[in-house]
Amino acid sequence: MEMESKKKKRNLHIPDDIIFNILRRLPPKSFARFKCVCKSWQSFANQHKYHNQKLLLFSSKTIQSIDIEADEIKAVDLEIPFKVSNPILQIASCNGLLCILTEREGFVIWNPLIGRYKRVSNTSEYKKFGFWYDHSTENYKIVRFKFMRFLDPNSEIQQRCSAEIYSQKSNSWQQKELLPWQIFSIFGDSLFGVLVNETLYWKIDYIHNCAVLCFDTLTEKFDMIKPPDNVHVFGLGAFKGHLCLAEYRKAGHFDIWTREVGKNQNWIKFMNLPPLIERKSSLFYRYLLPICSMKEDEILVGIRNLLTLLPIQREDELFLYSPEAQTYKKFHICDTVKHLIKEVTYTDSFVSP
Amino acid sequence: MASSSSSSSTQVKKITLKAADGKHFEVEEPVAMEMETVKSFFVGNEDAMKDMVVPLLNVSSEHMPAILDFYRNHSEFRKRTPPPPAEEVKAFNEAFLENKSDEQLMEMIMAANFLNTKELLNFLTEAAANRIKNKSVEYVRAFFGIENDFTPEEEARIRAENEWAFDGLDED
Repeated sequence: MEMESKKKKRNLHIPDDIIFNILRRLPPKSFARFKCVCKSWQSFANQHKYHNQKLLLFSSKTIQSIDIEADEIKAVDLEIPFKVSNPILQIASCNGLLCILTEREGFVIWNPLIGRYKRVSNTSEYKKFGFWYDHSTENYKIVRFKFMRFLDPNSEIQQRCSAEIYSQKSNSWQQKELLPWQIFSIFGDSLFGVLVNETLYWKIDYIHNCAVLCFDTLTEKFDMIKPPDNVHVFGLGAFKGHLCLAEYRKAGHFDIWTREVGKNQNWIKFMNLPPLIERKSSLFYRYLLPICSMKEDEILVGIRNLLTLLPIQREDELFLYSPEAQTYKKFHICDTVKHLIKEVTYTDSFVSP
Repeated sequence: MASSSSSSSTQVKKITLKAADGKHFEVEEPVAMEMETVKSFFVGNEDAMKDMVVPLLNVSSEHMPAILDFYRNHSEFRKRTPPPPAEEVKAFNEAFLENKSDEQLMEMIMAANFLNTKELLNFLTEAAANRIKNKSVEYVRAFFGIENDFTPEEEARIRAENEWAFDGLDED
């Protein structure tokens, strides 16, 4: 009855731009529900992108989510809807989807917002991956690397690194390319490629030098880039949509480099991180990387290990760095995650795995 | 309501605004200039100010006093040093929305859109989003006067896909 009376009263024609101005303010759950209102709302919702960045902290058994733009910074446990009997090794995030690699069970693609997940078969020990979303075909993909040894026609032993790609649409793995075997030695913590501007990056040990393996996800082509001149030891990460390379300088100082956008793509320094005093002694094997911007111009900085091959054995720590005061303070919220493995940034989407 | 804050200075210029139903409102110049639509009327045409009546085609006189009150208070909030406590602004905003029906809220959103004032439009659209966020699909269709253009099968499929979004709703 109430609705009847409302309908009678309604004689306003509300333009679409006003309606969409209201819709974009809705939380994701309401937004998903209102896809049922009419066709134009459905297409608006399907094209909508959330920009609120979240930080996910994960250990071998738990995942916590932190809304870094909220007034109060607090960690919320994500309820994992699938069984994880083996430890979580790595998590990559792209377009609202998480790609979770567990020991022996392969991986699960999960959208925590809508609660849907899918297991992707993974028959052997692959630990080096890249995960991305192809927006043109609305398809997510995974690239994995496998070490191969075989006899060529001359009965010589050949070694290669096989790159195989999984596509959600075809639900199968296909060999993409045979790369030099040395590429298999992706190491440090970049087992999952760093995804920046549709390109994946891994740090590799290539013929006694560290280099960066890149994979353009649009053309699906591999390439190799050198680190900045005279930089031999470094770590890779992403910060504010830029690739970052952390180089240990001296006395605990780190230079953070990024690549210029455009034709030249030269490496340029854009930040210096002063020593974390309390950690000075052990920083030789570790490096600092900026992760994301926080409130009050602070930057979340993570300590990463350069040498450990098994991420499960590492305990990451997070700090809030103030560029103005050049000081660090502990990011206490991560104390609630025991044996923190790593953090990933994440934004909500309605993409179904 | 309109006269309470206009008595502060006798030198303040007034601008006459004409609502859609023909009713006139005398408004202090700085308050009138909060509305981009009114402001654009005078850009490059400063002489016009003396006796021009600005027609506001999409704004009903019913909402004019409240809208002007919003501009007066919020421009005062912005100017004040130190800035007013958040509770004071919140209390004003809550009182502003109190007793406004959904219909009235939507009419004011249309008015704010026509007057081209970001602050008021943001405030009102946020309020509308808050009103509908925990409501059912049917309620929202009625709220906006939208017709369902899905077939029953299409709607059932979209509902099934988004099943997670349908629990814990407020009553209509």
